[in-house]
Amino acid sequence: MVSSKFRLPRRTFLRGLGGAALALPTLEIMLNDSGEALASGGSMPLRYLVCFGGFSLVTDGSALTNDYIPMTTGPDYSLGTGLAPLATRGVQDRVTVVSGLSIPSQLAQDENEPIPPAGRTVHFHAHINPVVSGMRSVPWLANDTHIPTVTGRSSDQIVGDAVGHETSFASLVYRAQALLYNTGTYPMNRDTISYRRNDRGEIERVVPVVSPRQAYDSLFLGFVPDDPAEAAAKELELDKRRSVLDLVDRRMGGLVDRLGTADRTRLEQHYDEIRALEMRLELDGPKVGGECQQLPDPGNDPPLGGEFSGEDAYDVNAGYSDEDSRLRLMCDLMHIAFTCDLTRAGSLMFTMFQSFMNVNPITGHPYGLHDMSHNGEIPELADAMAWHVEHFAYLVGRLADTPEGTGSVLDSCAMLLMNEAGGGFSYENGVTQWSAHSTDNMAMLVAGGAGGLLQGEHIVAPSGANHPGNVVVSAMRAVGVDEDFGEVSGVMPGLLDG
Amino acid sequence: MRFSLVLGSLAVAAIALGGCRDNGSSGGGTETDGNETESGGETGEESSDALGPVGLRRLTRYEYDNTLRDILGDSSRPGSQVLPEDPFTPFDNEYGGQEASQPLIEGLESLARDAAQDLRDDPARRDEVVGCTPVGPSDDECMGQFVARFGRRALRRSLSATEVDDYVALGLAYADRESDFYAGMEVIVRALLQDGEMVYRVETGTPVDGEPGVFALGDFEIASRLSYLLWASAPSDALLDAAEAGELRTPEQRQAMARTMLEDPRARAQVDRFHAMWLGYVQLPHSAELTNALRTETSALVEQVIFEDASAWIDLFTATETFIDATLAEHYGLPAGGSEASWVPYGDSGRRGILSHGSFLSVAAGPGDTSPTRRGKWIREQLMCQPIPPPPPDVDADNPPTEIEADCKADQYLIHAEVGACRGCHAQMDPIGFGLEQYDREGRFRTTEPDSPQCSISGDGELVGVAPFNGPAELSGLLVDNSLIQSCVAQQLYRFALGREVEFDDMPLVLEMADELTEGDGRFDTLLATLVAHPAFALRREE
Repeated sequence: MVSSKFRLPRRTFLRGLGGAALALPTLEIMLNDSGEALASGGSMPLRYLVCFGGFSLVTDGSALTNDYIPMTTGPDYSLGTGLAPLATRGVQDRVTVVSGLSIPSQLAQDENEPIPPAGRTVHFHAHINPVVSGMRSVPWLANDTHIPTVTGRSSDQIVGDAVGHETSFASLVYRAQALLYNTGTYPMNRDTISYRRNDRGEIERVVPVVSPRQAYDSLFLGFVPDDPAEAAAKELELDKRRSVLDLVDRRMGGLVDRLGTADRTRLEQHYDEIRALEMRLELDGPKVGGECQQLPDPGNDPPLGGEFSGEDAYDVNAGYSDEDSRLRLMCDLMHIAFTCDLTRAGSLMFTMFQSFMNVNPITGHPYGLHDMSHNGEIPELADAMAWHVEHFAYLVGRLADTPEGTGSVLDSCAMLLMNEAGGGFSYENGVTQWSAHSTDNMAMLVAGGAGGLLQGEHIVAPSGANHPGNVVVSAMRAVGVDEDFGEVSGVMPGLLDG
Repeated sequence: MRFSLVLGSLAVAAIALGGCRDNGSSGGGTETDGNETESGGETGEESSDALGPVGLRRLTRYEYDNTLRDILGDSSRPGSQVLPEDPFTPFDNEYGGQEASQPLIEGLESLARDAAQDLRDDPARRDEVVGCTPVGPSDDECMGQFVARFGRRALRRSLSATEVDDYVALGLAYADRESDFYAGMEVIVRALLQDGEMVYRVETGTPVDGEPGVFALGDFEIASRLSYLLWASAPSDALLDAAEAGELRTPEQRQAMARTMLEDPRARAQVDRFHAMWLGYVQLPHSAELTNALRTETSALVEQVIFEDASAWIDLFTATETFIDATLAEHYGLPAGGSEASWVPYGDSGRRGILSHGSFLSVAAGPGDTSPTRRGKWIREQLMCQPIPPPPPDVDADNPPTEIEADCKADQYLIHAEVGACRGCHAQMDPIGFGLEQYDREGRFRTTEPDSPQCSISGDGELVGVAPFNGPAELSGLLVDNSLIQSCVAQQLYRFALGREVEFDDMPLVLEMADELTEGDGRFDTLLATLVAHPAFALRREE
């Protein structure tokens, strides 16, 4: 049964879905003779991904080391502990390190003291906004809620808004860290790196998919199995979903009308998401073949761990939900989503801002990640950096090993791994020279060859263009999106040809 | 009404001010000018005076899982694994933070699919849910009976004939297609589990004359308020029957129903969980073994005081014995009762009640050790309902100032008293924490600092504005004797019941509840009964 209604959506929740009934992988037959562009004359799809890890580059009181920032510049840069997985995964020649990045700070907490463009207030945790959206932090006033508000679109959503109409999913937004692991507090926007502009013109967070199982189900929705019996079973299942949702939708429409204004607004959000799901069920899936194959069913998610707040619990699953497996699966899903051209924009949050995740299971050091940045030793922290880099390098390697045209999928990707903080002067207390609460001496990893991105070198950002957002702008340009990133408009010199 | 006046000034001050004063006089209730109006009416006949707005609430993950258990016999608790996290703030049910996102909708859909398929594959459960035996795949009569029966449980109200027909039509289409009645059942269950009225606690009601924006809840809506407050789950058939018969309309009827519902094990679990969220030990950062032992200890006390003895609720804070096994006795340094858990007297150990438990003492720790500031803040905010503003923007709470070179913690914390900008708030927090400092973050007793044995810990603290104290027993005494914790728990329970923070309009009813603890029999079940009996419980003010 094909849903009989197909009302026009009242809102533009179909960002990226509108009109697109097809989402096909880039098969050889679609390419031109040289394999460098589509036979139809269009260019190869370009893909954009932002990854994030909630770690700093120093621990409090310890000077910056070469664990993350190479000692040498140019190609074949030296690898410290934090970047070692680039070598073991064999992808160093595809990953550029940009160091010397800095988010400017207000110099003193005074309402007359300006907050620089794309800068932060004195308070460190307000820097979520410049990191995520390239906008300056909102003033951090006494007695307010102290939620670090985000006021602009994140780069994955900027790219998704620009190119998402080409694919089944305008963007994919995943997070590996399963829980906050911190009771008695609101998430405070620590748990999200993707923000979009809604139909009312407001910036709203894009709630990430946290369950790998759910991400899997959603991604492979439209895949038609080769086996006729399996294909028929899948079609029956799809048909049931459409019929069920059709009834849920009709009833919810009636329910919305019975509610008062505030409640109606709440339920309409739900209603819109139901209808967005219905529209996704109407899309044709990709043609499976070549590199575009359905992954095996991952089964149920790893069990969720409880709260973690100290090293005496490091040997239990408190504060840890097997994020190692979750992240690996999400990398696999992002890989296949790019390969099958199901999306061209994504964000993948490895760990949260101010992450309370227990890193003992992945590093052998008894801390929460946030606690480790403050109270750990640098060599311990370097192991946590390496865990993040290992997963990033794994994904880079998967994409590099996936042929497309005359090269690989990675050739058309621009991927970033940004992290929470650098290390340096504390604007908060105005005293400490080496603080993990510093947005000086930040660094970012850039991978992929989209648009001719520089690959496999270490470059140091020049003053005047050393905001992390300059790297973001270059990466967006690399995938053909010529837009500013919040208040950051310039590129990172040397990162992109031309 | 002396108590009401004192409580009123305290509670209102807590809501309205939320500041820190240098002289620390906010604790004693001495600022009452005696001119406040009396708190909410004795019988509550004036209805909506004590009524703040309340909005549409989505079932929490916990409530969703309980609901599946009770309407489908599915105890696998799948929602907690799949649905987006409900943060504990401290309660997990605040609707203001609930977002309808793509992960939520897709999660609900896959949960409904799995639950329906599991049901289809489990004949015993399936037959219980369906309630009739189909004579064939297209048995529309049995299909209709099933929809009416299960739909009432899932949507928590009786379905109209038209609604039943809609679901039957959906079901028969697939029963025919697969030549299996239960294929029809499966899609019907899937649809009902995703329905707006299943996922949300929809309240509309009928307008109350002369009171704009106020609505009298329908009978079924009252039933759901009762069941999700007292059971964190769907109404039982008996409760729905009572609603259908109009037997939940008067305060007396609701009170009687609440008394019955409190006999159910689900009520014990809910009361236990309320305390765990409120006091912060719902998740503990320890090994599974220690976590289980500590949770067992505290649950035993809650159960004993509130249900077994049905004694005054404040006994939770003054209990002279605790339910522990030999391992936990050794952990605490108490005499071992036996290898099995049993009630062990505290004697002169300085411990009394729940604030002596390792569960509570695990809360609000710092990295590496206890944090007197965080403990004090937690107690001030959660147990006394006195909000502490966040630190000034130029303070890095992760890296406290280090100007004072000192080996011992108590000396290091002196910086808080020396810096003017810090003093006002820290004076409200730190002395409370230092009064518990002889108890580490697993609840073990100590007299010296773990890493600095030359630093002795005095355990001397102060509830600034009230009195000095040393240890959990004395702190509990101050909180109870000054009615601080009774006033606060009334607010917290109300917050939990409404799924949002307490507002000014709510105060008359909150004060009435607090009075119940200080002037009535002081029992927690009475507190709950007072809440559900109040006319406001059957009304809704639109946001």
